Amino acid sequence: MNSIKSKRIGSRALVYILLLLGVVFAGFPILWLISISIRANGEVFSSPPSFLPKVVTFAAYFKIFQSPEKIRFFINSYVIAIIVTLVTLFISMLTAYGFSRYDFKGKKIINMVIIGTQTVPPIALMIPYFGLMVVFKLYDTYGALVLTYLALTLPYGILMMTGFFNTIPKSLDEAVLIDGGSRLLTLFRVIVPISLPGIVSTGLYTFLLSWNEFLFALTLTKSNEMATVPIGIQLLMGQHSYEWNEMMAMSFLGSLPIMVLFLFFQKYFLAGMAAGSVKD
Amino acid sequence: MLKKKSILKNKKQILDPYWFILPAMLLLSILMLIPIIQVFRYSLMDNVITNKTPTFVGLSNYIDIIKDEVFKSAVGHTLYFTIFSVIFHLILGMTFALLLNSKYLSSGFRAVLRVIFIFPWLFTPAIIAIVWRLILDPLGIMNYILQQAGIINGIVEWLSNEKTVLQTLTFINIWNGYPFYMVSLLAGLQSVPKQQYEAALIDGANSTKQFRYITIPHLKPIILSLSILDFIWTMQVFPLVWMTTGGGPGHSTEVMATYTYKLTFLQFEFSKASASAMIILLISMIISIFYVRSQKSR
Amino acid sequence: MKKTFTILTIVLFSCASIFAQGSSESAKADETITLEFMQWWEPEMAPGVMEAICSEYEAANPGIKIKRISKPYSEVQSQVTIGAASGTLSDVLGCDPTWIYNLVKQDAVQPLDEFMSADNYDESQLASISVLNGKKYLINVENFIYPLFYNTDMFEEAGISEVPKTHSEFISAAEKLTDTSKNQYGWDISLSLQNPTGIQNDIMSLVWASDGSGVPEPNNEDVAKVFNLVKTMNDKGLLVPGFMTAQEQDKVEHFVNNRCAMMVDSLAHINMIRERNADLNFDIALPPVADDYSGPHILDMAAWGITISKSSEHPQEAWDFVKYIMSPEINARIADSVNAFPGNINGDPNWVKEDALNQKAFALYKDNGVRNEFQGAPEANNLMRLMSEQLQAMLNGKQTVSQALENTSDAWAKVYAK
Repeated sequence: MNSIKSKRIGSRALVYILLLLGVVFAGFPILWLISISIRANGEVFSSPPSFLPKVVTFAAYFKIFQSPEKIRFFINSYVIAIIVTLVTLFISMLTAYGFSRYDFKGKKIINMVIIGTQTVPPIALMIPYFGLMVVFKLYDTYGALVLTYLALTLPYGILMMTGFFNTIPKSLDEAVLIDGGSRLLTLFRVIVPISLPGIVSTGLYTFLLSWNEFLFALTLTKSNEMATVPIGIQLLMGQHSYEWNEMMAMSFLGSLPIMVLFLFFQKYFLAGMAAGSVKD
Repeated sequence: MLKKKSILKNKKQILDPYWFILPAMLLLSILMLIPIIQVFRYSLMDNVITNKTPTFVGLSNYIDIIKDEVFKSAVGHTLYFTIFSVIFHLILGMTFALLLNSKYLSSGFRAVLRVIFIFPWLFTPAIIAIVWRLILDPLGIMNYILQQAGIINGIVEWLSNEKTVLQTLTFINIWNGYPFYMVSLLAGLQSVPKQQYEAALIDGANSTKQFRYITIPHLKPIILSLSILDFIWTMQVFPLVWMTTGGGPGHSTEVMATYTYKLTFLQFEFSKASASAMIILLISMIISIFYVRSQKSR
Repeated sequence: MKKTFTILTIVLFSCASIFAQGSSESAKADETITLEFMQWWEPEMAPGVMEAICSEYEAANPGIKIKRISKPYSEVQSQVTIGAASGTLSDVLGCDPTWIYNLVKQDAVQPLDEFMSADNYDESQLASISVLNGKKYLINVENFIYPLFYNTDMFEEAGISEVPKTHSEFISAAEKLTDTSKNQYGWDISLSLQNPTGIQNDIMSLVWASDGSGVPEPNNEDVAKVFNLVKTMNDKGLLVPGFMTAQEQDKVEHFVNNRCAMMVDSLAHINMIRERNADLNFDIALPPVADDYSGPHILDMAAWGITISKSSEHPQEAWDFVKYIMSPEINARIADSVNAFPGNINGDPNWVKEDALNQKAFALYKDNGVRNEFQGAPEANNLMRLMSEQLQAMLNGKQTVSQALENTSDAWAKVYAK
């Protein structure tokens, strides 16, 4: 009895120790980031390095909040990420419905193509995308980024949503169909509410991807009015000096809403991930 | 009665599924197929864009690139970077998922820990590169801590020594990428039927055995598809490498994506860059065949 | 299925509305002429100065609007590459003279000759114009010199009273100044490959200092001497560790935080150094020359250039704006805000009179020659990167100095052969 008890204490201690190590591993760089955001730029390279700044200052945060131009980066990022998320979800759901509820000619091939598009390296798309966006007169607009991100998020969204819809018994929507409801009605009245976890998880993935994307945001926009947060951070790297504290502050402010969102949605997110990835 | 109606419907609605997939197909063909065809066309010309009247040169761009020693080493670095990233993503993701799933945690504590553990996923690659460059500065905090702890003597040039830089970069990528695994595996763990563990407990199976005979088989499909997707994504990683080392020192962290970028932005060799991009695409395609297979086997 | 259609239409409409966002911007341009002015200068200048300069121009020229696109240097550089490839360059373009060769080659910028002759523009007031294929393409707006910065407190502590003048003196001073227990090193260079300008400012600047030449042919005695100098410094551990991936900005932070005693750096950094660490005591001097050299000293010079894009719809208005930027008064105002020397020699900047250090800087500029062989060279950034790679391989012990020079020369020959 005693040995079992001590074994349990032992394993509990092990879990805590490992968790502590994990927290340090995951959290240390972020703490360092926050620590830099609240010090003066002259103190970033102080030697010996100190974990806490000698003088704590929130000047970097004030600078961001006082600059309409910088607030605009956040707005741009939100607008783009939200549009991309909504459109991705909508189109993924339509497509996933088609895939999970019908058998049709070419289904396998189309499925293969969608998976294949996951393998396209973004860097390969960069050159033709300038051309495409200039021809469509989309260069330096939200449209350029929205369309580009859609191309990146749709394949994953479709795969995830198809997985989810497959887990929902067909009998559920057939009941509505027999009652004379249209296909779209069943999709939005029956299937969508049930697969909310999947929608949330796909949505978060999409949101994070478009929020953090850097390469296309850099190449497909030009004016600062169109810059997203990652580009805004880049804008603080001058020819001669970096605004270290402001870069860190901007990045932290940018990630804060996602942290809160995740804290709030994680129940759905986890349920969603499981269903989507296990059953296909 | 019911049967008849549904047959009728089926005939009339044979086009239905195509309507549903049409928007996605339209978008993906405009945004993926056309650009790829264009890149392929570029890759067969002598220098496009800088040359106003490019001519067809066949595969000579491909041959030039494959012959290039720098490209060969870039392929090697990419494979090293990718393979180790994927393995450690999996190990760390699994370990943290199991820890977070442990019965010793209260639900509130668990929720907070989950957020902390996904931190690395929330930040844009530009800032991750900068934060790590500051931490790993030869006179920075990491060396200072290691010196104080007596682990190292003197200075380790993590990111500017050819011997350590690829490992360091891979480490940063591991740190950056494990949360995606962790979250997916965590979700997978929630769905393992509890009865199986209970049954195993009655049979006297210890936790190692439970893990090996219940958890792993249950998670196998997730692990497989995660690893393959991650493999493809990591092969294409660009911003993190570019902003941390720029492919240096020398060519010691040159990966296929930075190689392609340099062809475009420093050398203005748009055709060669296209050829290089097509090679990355080809390699990714081959790997994605494994992905499709693993999807089918489920 | 009708409903599916409706939904599809909604999707298409929402896409269309995104499209419309782009075109509404260009519609506004009909009433007034909007000149896009892309540069990396505004973030470098004191806040508000560039904005004031542009709005004064707008006030004096009704019907013209200046749309400033102000981005950091490295980003302007990639935007210029993209813009040249896709025909989306801004009308008026801040351009490093080291980029101009490829812009001309891609036919992305306009020659200025016709505008100048139409206006009888007095070229003698300009300090420097980049000429390619017999045509004038770019005017230097501001010039920056790269003197040797040194930390006077550290010099005192190490008992050095004279600023090193030759390579040997430079090495022995660096030896005295290096104290690893205090994380203090003699010299700092930055050889990052993302933005390889360290080659121009840390390495070639020393070649030029002794009136040497390294472009287009780097395989010569002058460059070898500097490569040897760097190698000796590195072998003795006198360089701030991490220099192989350090960027120019890192170098300045090291100097500010007493990590290095000497660096060759842009005068533009004086303000930032003071702002970061008000207590730092430092001075500037001429960079060291080869031991056997006794001729006049030559300083590395970087510049902000201005040019007009070929795709501009309003080239005449663009030229008028360029003239405004180059006018003595405006030119001096920009110079004041970044410690530069105006591209219009009639410009009379105030900063050079402000204090002793600034006066000294001005004297250095007046009394010595300036040089930058990368200006107007093909793929200048690529040339620097290729040299940096060979230099790094040499410092890592993979090749000798002569091999590094030979390999650089071969790599450069390929660029020139294009």
